Amino acid sequence: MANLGSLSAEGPKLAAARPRPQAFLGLQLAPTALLLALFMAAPLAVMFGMSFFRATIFGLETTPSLGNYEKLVSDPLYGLLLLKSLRISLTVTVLVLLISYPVAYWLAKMVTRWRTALLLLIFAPYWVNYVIRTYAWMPLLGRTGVVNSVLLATGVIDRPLDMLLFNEFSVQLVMVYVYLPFGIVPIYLSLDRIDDNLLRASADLGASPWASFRQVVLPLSAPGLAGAAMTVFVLAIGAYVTPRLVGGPSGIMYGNLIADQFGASFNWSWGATLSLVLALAALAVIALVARRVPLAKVFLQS
Amino acid sequence: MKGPLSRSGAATAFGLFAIAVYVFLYLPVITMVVLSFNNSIGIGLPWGGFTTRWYRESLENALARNAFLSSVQLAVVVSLVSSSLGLGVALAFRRAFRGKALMLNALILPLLMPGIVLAVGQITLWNLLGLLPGLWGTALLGHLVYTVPFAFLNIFPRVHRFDPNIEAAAADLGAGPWTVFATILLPRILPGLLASALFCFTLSFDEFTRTLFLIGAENTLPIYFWSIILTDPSPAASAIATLSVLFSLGIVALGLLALSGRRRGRAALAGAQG
Repeated sequence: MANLGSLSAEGPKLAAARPRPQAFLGLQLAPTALLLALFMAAPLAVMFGMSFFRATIFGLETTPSLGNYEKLVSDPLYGLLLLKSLRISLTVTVLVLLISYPVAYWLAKMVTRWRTALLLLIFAPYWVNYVIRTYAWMPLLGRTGVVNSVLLATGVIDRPLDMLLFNEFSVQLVMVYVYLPFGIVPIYLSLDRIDDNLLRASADLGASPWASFRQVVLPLSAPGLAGAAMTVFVLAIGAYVTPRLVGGPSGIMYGNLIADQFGASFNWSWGATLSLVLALAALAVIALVARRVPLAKVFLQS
Repeated sequence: MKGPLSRSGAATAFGLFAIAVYVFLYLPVITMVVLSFNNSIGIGLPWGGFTTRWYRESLENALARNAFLSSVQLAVVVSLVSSSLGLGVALAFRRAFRGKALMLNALILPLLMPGIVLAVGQITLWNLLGLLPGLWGTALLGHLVYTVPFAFLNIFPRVHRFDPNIEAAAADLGAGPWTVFATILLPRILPGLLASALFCFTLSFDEFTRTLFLIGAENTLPIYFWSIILTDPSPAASAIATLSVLFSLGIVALGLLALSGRRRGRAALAGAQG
């Protein structure tokens, strides 16, 4: 009887064995869903609400108004700063991609000797704090910095150059430097996944190296390229550290304007409005890239 | 492993370009390390002779030490929590459920949102609730919103690749869900979990912008470093930076060694994705 009992239990037990983890779904998803709802969605909603209040000298004016949005539109300063930040971020992104791709290609497809060491060297800066990597340029570019000292000592210039630091040039230079690993790493990973036999096949079929590159390598590395572009662009458009440290007054970006509202200016509702504008600008550019390469393909390369 | 583009002319050109990029990447950091031994009060030149006094001062500096300890403790907690949550979501994502697309988008959004936006949003929310910012509340949660998605993206491919029939077989043979998880799945995805934990540790240890807005009056090492380079830049800043770089790279090297013991070094490198 016991035997028969266990046999008859076999059917439902088998059926239960596979779909039953549905019961775990809630446990697996709930903590993260809660985290994102409370500390991503709710803050965005709160900022949206805040943007309809105005700060006055008496505190927060709690009658909803479009005042912040009127300020945004009527004063050209804010639109111009957004355009400038977009221009800097796009320039930096394009430069990073142009520098990263050949290096990543070289590492993935051309290097034979010391490959592991070269890979480690290119990955290492990825693990180093970006505040430190920004700071590293200050002893180089400052008035008494290494570049000025060398140029003075060799007689190329007779007084220190001030233009090396605290302007838009230094911001772009240092941002390219700081974000370069975020370009090289995803592009390398996507190129590394491409089967070399595909390249051989395309060469055997008579494709020129350029044709192979355009028709085989480039499309297959598109997810890595898109991932690099998105990561670098998002970091650049929200940049706060680099313009603050090496930008000076002329190198200021949108992120610095936002930070001011939560610091010295103490105008949180205006800061919330500016933050939403920045988020929308970033998402708009991401959406343009995502139309060519779907996000799931970029982020879930499995 | 020669691709069709590996003809010697092209290879030389690519090689020279790559060398230039390596120089560009390393020159500033190496300069900083050299100048951290400069016996002078400025962070640049002139060279005033070799000294280790900046390192001695930094190591004896209680503020710097406490900031470092806070950073390490926070990074350990962030790393453990993110990897656990990321693993949970990755396991759930093996099957269909309602709201899966929404969940995926919600996970990707923190990666597409400039760090400063969510940081000021979170501090606004905390302020509205009347709660004070600090290391173990606001800063921890701010880090997690950012690191859990990375953990998920690191772990999911490994879980996804694992053949569910093997678990089904174990279940058919009478193993309970926990046994299946602990004895079948977990050992197979452990390298991915370790890589993710390592990655989240360094993300948190190096995190700056979010922390700056969310930490209130407390310090992490990057926040302390920021305060000295804004107020009193001296070779001591370069010394602290050098020590911090050595620590980050040391942790990663240890992690890679642990993983390569499992012949998974390349996978760990791949864990750096994103």
